[in-house]
Amino acid sequence: MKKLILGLCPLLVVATTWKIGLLMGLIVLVTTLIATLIFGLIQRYLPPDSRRACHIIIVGTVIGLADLYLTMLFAEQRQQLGIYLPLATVSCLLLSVDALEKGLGKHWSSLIWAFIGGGYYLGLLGVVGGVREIFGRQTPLASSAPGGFLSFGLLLGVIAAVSRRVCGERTIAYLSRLDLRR
Amino acid sequence: MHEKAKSLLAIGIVALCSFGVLGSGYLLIHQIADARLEDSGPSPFQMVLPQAISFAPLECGALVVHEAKDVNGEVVGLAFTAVADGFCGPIEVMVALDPHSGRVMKVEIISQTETPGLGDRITAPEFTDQFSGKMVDDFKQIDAISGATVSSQAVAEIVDSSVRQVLAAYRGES
Amino acid sequence: MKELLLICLGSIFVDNLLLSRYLGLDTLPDEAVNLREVARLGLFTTLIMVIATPIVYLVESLVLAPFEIWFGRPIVILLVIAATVRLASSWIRPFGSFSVINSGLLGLALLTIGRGYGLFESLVYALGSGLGLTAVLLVLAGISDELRFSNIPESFRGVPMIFIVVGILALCLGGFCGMIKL
Repeated sequence: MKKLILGLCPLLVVATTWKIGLLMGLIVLVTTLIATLIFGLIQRYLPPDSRRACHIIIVGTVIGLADLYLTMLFAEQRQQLGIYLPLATVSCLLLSVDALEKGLGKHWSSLIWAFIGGGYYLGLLGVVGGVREIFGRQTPLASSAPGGFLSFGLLLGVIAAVSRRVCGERTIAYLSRLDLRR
Repeated sequence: MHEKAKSLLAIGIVALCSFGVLGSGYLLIHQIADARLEDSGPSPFQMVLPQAISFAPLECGALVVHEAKDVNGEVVGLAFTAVADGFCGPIEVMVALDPHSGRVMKVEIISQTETPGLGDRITAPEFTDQFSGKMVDDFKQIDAISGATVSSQAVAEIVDSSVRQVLAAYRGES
Repeated sequence: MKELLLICLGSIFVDNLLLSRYLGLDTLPDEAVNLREVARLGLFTTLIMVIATPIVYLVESLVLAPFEIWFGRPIVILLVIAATVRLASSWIRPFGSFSVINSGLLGLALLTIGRGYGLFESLVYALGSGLGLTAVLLVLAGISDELRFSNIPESFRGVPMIFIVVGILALCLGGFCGMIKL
């Protein structure tokens, strides 16, 4: 679980406005879904040693397509994402691997977990983007670079605090134990 | 050994498929992009000279400059790109210049790999708008971004030197 | 020679892989580990970086660039890294928690290509970045250790605190900006 959120870290760089944050999140979500779908279908036909490498190739292909699509048709946004678009391969890979594990080999389960993970990223990125955009108008530095880390950390903490209030301690404990049941 | 060969074969096949997908994706999107360009025909230089409808390349010394003309065929400006040595790599800059007055009309940053949050704020209008309306000697008074002096100065210097070059060559020709 | 040194030093202090570019945070494993493990992980990552980055440079200049297959970069880089990790694991005792799915490795390779570094420059850059990353991870681990006994609200423990700490570290590093002109 910790690894998943840490995997979100590189994508935070670009989330300086809610639009770009959402764009990045959307790319990650769609890529993860497609990659999980394809890999989930073919994984049993692949020799076990090659699975990790093939997974990488598949995720990389989808990101490559996204890259092509953006570069040629939405050049300005692609420029704003910079090197962090190909870098999203890692984040999508993390999500995809995690989704397949949680899905316990059942196809639809994996897809749903991929959707949850990707959606989580999408939401977080969008909100962080928005927060940084709003605060960026007041203090220019606080909304970029170090500010990004700080705002994300604070945001996570606030979300956790609110979830605790709303769901109660026991639900949280149950949910976190759910992750470890692999 | 047999297992390893099978694994490598599997990887190879998947890689080939991926290559095929990416290749066809490339060709397909290239066609779509080309078609789009043919229809609307925007030139990248419209970023800095939106009122122009045609851009004719000229050679001004070492730089390729585009002469921008509007609907009436009048030259509304010169557009060119230049690359500066930034803090963390090359900064590509696009400049629109008024050849008659020698003033810069607009500056846009096309690409940069500066420090996120600091150096990359050279792309913000608060920085690039400072160049509009200024002449060659005014660039020394550009306000640098605090914490990104090198990035800011790199842009100022490249605008300065390229404008000098272009004006000299253009006025020399015409 | 002087430029190489500047690149190396610059990548440790000014353009730190983690603090400036948000890369490499997923080198940290899920469970809390002691400083020694973090140090070994960091140094192992540095080793992989130093070996893999020049190879990536070669592949990029010989294969990717001439055919302009920029969209294939993440795949190729990740595969090179995977092969390197496989190789290195046979010499050095393999780490259980180390994974090829590491944003630091991919990010470093992408940055090297993006900056247009040559062979030796990429070597030096990889070395500096790896060391810088290791240093930051060590500091982070040390601080996390200390924080375990502090009065942090329950919601902020764990991941949110990591990000806040990294944010503060990044702020401290901001003072170094401009020290070295690359």
